[in-house]
Amino acid sequence: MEFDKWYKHQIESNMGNPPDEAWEGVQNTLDTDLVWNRVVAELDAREKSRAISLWAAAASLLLLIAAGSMFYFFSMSGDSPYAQQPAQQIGLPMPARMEQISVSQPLAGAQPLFQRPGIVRHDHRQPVHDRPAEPETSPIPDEPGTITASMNPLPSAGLRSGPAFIAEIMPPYDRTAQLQIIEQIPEEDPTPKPRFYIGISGQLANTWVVDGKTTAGLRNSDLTATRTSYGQSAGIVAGKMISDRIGLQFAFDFTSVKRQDYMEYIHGHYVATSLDMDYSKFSVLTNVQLRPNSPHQAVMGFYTGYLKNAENHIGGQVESVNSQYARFDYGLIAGYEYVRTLGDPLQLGMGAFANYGLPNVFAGDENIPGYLNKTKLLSFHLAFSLRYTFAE
Amino acid sequence: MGFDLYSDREIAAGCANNDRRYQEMLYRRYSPKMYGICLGYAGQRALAQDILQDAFVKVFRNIRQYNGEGSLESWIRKIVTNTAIDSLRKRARTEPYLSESVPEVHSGAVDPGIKTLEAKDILTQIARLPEGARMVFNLYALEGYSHQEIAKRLDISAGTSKSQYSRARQLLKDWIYKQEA
Repeated sequence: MEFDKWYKHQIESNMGNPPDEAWEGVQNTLDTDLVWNRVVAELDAREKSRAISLWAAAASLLLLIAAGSMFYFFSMSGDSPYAQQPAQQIGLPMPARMEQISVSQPLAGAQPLFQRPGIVRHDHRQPVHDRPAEPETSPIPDEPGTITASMNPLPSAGLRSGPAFIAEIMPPYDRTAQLQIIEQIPEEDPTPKPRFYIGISGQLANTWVVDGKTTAGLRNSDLTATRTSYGQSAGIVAGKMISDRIGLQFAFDFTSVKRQDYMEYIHGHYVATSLDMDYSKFSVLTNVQLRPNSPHQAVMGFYTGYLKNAENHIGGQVESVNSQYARFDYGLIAGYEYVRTLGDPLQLGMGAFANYGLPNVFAGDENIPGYLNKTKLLSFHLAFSLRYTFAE
Repeated sequence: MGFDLYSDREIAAGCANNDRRYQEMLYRRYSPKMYGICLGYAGQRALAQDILQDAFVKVFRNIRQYNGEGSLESWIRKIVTNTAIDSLRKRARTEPYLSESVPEVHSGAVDPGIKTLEAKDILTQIARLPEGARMVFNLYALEGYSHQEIAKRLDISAGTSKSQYSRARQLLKDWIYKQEA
């Protein structure tokens, strides 16, 4: 055992220090661990962020669909003035609001309606609960030129939905009997009229610079992460209804920013980078009302843009990349717009549009020719415009 | 460096925060002894360096598992020993694990950094031992394992462990005494 102890002592005490390369190797491995841990953490965060973005996009889409459906169905129901059927369709002057109705010209030979037995003339402005009980139907037999329907009290509020009620009290055979409308109050007609308008517009956009880097960054396995990016536009808008349902619209955006954000792995660190492209944009659009006099419009058209400035942002540094991108872009626009009259002569337009650029906007540089990095611009816009209208 | 001013617990806490200064303190404090142990198992400098490097990487990766019970040195030593055994087992895939033959001593096996003649001689003789016998001898003499524990650890019989230990011990003694003479 003495030999074992001697051996142990020699091994543990007298073998000297390890070479420096051993510590350097340990440090290198630990550095690699640190970097890898950062990468894994970033990939995990990116995965969570992507899931949140997808859910947010899905929720936004559902919200948009729900809001659109709500607008649409309200416009179809009686709750909205848009859906009121014009009284002219049943051959009567259109009552905007009825406070009192009287028969001005009784039929020849016919007993005045309200003088007949069983028919009680009411003051329809009298509250319902103050009125005496009355028969449900007239006791006299039907005859031409008389009102055969029941004469229930006329609730003033119910008169707004004129056609049904008017059909009820209208003489079935003689259209000469007139319903005089007293105290007519013109009602607002919010449907877009064929008139010229001009206004200001603003847009918030989810923008995509679609190229190899962006698409690669959407894959979890890639170190570069493509992030959801937003741009904005501001400009003026003008247009004119060229027929009952079709309008022509011109828009000029002083600034229209297309942006793409990334997280890139540079020199051992994840750094936020972005490509910002600022365009001036001119659009020509055709608005088609989904139904006659509907505020809902389908929008189609095209745009052309002039690139004013292109910049790469890497961390806090800005690099101009104007020379790498083409001056002009053009493409298609499609979407939906809802036009609401705020009160003559102002209108508010709200819409959702997709813009898709047709050409490759990457012109290339000394290292990469343009055709090797095809880049197209795609964006989804939420647009708002405030318009001043001029009647023709 | 002044790392003797810090307790093992403080150093371990610093290493748990991935603080490179504390990691270096720990390395400087324990690497000489652990390097000797690695040399004892490996028998050659290059392999010992690799084992030491791997072992300390494991130490730093798992330092949070050190709960303060027992000495930090024992905890590190256990990792070093396991790393050495695993490393030699990997090598054994291409070489017979328990060889009966006694290999020739390679000239490069002697560590030129060893200062004392005794250590240099010991290392020379260790390198001449068959790998299996060397491992059994080190586990018994350095770590204090019983033959049953060695047998379990190396997946051999206790009898094999005893015979390998006796054979390694005898060879070492003979060579060292012969060298002294």
